[in-house]
Amino acid sequence: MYRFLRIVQRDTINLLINPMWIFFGIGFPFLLTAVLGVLTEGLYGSSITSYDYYGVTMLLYSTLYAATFSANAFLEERIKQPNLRIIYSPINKFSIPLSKIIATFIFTAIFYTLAGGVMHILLGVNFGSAHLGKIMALFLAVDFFFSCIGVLMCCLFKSEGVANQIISIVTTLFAVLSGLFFPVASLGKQMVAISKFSPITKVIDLIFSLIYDTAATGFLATMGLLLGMSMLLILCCGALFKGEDYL
Amino acid sequence: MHSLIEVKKLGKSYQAKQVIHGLSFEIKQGEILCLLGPNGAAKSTTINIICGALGYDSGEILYQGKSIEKNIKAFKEKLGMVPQDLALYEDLTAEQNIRFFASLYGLKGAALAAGIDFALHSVGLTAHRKEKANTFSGGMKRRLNIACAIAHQPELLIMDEPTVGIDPQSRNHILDAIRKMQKNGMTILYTTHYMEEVEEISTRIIIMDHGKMIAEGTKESLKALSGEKNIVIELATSTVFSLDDFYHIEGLKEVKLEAQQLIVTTIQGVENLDKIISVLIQLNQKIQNVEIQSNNLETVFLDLTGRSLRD
Repeated sequence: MYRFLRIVQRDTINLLINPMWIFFGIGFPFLLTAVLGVLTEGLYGSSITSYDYYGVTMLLYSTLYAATFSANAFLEERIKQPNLRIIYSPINKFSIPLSKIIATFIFTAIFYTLAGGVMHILLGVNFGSAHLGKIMALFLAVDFFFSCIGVLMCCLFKSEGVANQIISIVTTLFAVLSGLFFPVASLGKQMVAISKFSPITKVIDLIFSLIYDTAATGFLATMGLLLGMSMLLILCCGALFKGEDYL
Repeated sequence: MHSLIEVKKLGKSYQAKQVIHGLSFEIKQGEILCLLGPNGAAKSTTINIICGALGYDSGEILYQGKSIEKNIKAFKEKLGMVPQDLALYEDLTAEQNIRFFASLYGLKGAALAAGIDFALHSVGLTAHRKEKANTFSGGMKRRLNIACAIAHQPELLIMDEPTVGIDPQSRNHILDAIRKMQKNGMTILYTTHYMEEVEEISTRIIIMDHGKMIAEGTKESLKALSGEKNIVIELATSTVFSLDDFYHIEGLKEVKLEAQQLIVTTIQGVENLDKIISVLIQLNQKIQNVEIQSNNLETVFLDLTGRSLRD
């Protein structure tokens, strides 16, 4: 366990020492919310403002980008070579993808939580109060799920570039299907039917329900779904990752 | 010396291309075994298979008589690996790099501190322990690359071309460190295509080409394989004379006269220099200089494969 924790620690520090990623972690959701909030201010009322809506959806959209962070943590050239030594060391090779997932989750959980705080203070975004813990848990579960997706893409495609391209498509697909930018109803009935299969649709509906209706129905089921799928992805990473991918 | 590692009939292919063909050899405890061969000889593939980073199609690898595959964790605890590419965290100091990689072998507390000191001292970087790797020269980075592999004092150290692209001073430092580590009981498997390094440090040599073992032995025994040596005699004047008399000399294979130089190719082990000189005296030729060109591993490789080590 000591050895594994050392790898997780190192991987987390590697993410923390990159100022661009820190900016991306905090600045990206804040700027998206600020811009979309201003542009659509007139379309929303005073009880639920455009900032309230986009604050939640854009923070959720940003958490999908955990996949990009984990892909970079896994296959970035600067990190790839030192990671080669981990392959040679007496550590289970499964530790390598698992450590990247955990490190990415720690990093993104810290900075997206900070981003949420900044958005609440500066833009007045309502993240709920009665069920704040549950809402945070849902954000973090999505964050963890997408951290797993990023590493899985690396295990599948063996290249940071290809993995990032695929992740970009997957992220956009989930965002559009789940109505993070605009209501999915405007895309037609078929798309609405398809969007119901997206776990992100379930999450966003549940978060708004927790904030405004203080109704927690389906919370455990949604959490179970996200964590279950994450576990499945981790198992796939373990099966697909070959040490020689790093050579 | 008993066998530490036994490689038996190793076979490996990438897609349809066979890159290692039934390779068998052993690494004896306490030796410096050099794998010598040109780029593409499958040296790196061989060592990556031995250290468990790469799979193989056929054959068997044993560590102290037991299958490495079945005891991979125990084997890796005793293994130090110096990869060909620099595997360092550039933003960490030399000490922090070694600390992290040594901790992967379970070192902590006093043992970790002692391991770091040992590694830095072995490669001559003690004075630079607090400096970041990205401030190091190429040679210093190469030395740090080695230090990161030895802090846990492995029983077997595998080094994949550790001196590629460095200055002679750093190279000598590395070769000295390797000799010291061997003296202290470490077994070393060293791959290179620099025959000068092999001549300097090897206990035993395996010459590889296209995934096969071409020859194996000490440098002396391998040089003897070539079977020929050249004697270059510089004459005082440039004259033309008959070379027929030379062909009566025992062991002589070929004689060429090029300007003021007489180049005689003769079989190794046959002492015939006095007879060659006698013939020259009979032909009234004055000798200015005599040079016996002994074989090196480059010529051995050329003889065995028909191509140069750097091809």
